Amino acid sequence: MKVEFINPFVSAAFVVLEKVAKTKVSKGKLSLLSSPIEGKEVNTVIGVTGDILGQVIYSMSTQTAQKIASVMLMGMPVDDFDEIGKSAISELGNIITGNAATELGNNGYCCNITPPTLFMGKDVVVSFKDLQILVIPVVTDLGEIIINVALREADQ
Amino acid sequence: MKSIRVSALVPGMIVARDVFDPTGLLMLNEGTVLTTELITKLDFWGLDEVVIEEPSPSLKEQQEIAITPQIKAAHERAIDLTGSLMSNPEIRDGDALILKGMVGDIESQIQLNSNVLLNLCHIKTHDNYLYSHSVNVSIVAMIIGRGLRLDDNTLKNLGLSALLHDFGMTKIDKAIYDQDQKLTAEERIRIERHPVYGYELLCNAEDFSEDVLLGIKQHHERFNGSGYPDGLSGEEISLFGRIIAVADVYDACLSLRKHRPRMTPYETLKNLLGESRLFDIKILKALVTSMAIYPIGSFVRLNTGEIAKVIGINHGFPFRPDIRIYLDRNHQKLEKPIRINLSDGDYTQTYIQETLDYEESERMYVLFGDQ
Repeated sequence: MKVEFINPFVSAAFVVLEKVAKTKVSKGKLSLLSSPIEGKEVNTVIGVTGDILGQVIYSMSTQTAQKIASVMLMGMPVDDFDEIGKSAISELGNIITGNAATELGNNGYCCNITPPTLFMGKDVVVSFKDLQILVIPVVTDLGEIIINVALREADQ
Repeated sequence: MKSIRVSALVPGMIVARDVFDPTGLLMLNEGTVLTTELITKLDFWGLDEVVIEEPSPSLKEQQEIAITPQIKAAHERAIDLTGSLMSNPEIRDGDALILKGMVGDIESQIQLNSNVLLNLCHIKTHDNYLYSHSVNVSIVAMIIGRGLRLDDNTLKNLGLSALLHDFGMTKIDKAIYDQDQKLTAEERIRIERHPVYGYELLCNAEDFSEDVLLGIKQHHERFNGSGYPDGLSGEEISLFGRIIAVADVYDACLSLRKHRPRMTPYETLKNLLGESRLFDIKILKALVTSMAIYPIGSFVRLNTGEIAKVIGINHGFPFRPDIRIYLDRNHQKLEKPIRINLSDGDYTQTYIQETLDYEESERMYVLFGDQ
């Protein structure tokens, strides 16, 4: 996986989380894993198509998801992580990925993203076909968000 | 059909002639709908201009265009009718029936297309605040009620209660509630009696059920007990009282009043959520779910710099409404505004970055308010 695919996600995550979730952000240690990986309880999956193909998964605990959703919903308490809370977390993934995709486009990799899919559960295991996954842990005041990026260049 | 600079393209425009890249390869077919992704691509390739055509309105849009004048006229009729009733606080036989019929009409319009009605609530041209406020609170209360899944009959009673919530104001000298200065202590005491006046006036009319009357009496009670007239708290306040309290503040914040500036719809929601101790959180949640994060009438800036107005809610997508784009990313006015649905999978890379502040919104209202 090329570094130039990764950086747009890191910078998008920083910019978006600071602005949308109004939290300080710092980057944990990156690691390259092979499929399958373990997710946390709340996972937002977004596909990337076009010049670059693959998936991005944003993974976080329910508690972190509730806190972020509450900020995005202007302070509305999100105690039971209901539909509106879920739509906030989906939108967060959408905004970060959209931001990164636009940056990739500016660098000549034109790509589009699919609408987010959110899935929840304990002990979630995600398998990617033939791909290595770059794991970017992002530490915020509201908890940790793991960004799993599995992308490759499309065949010409 | 016209040629447009790439920097002035906005999502939703349609390519009218095939577009070729600098090496002569076909990039975009005639008929392609532009998205943020494609505009970035055109930018990257350094193309100067693209020939585009205006999109023709969708079926949903055509329907809205067709029904808007009728609903607008009905809204104005409702305001006039409320005005004529409230200027004569003696409720006569048959008045209740007329009001119930009117509320029933509004309720069926809400079930049909609440977007058009909410758009009307944000057009604040009416001189007589009290009457248009009454009708708007009735609309907002019923929209909240629908979000709470109240049945048809309860919804109509809620609408009626909300329509008459300020009926007691008719017993208060207009000079008091319409004045610029801060109220004196005596004036305040008098104004704070209006829920009771309304209750008493309508009690005698026999035609109103207890829940309708309680909604009127309790719409200034607050969930934490800080309201008036009785300082009730929590579920001591009737459901109608709790709903109308939220709807009343929502519409009041949106309205231009002499003693304080008008707020944008987004600021209004934020304001209500910031005061969440005062209201029933279940009802605030129903309001946010029904109005979405960027309520109808909000002016917003997209991530790509365009300025648009929120004109429709997509249920299940509170962050992704229908919008109408007025200004391109260089802030040049579009010849014809472009409408897009942000929940459409084609526009995943487009999102609302922020709402415009009050002053910017006000300028946009002046330019595009009733379009």
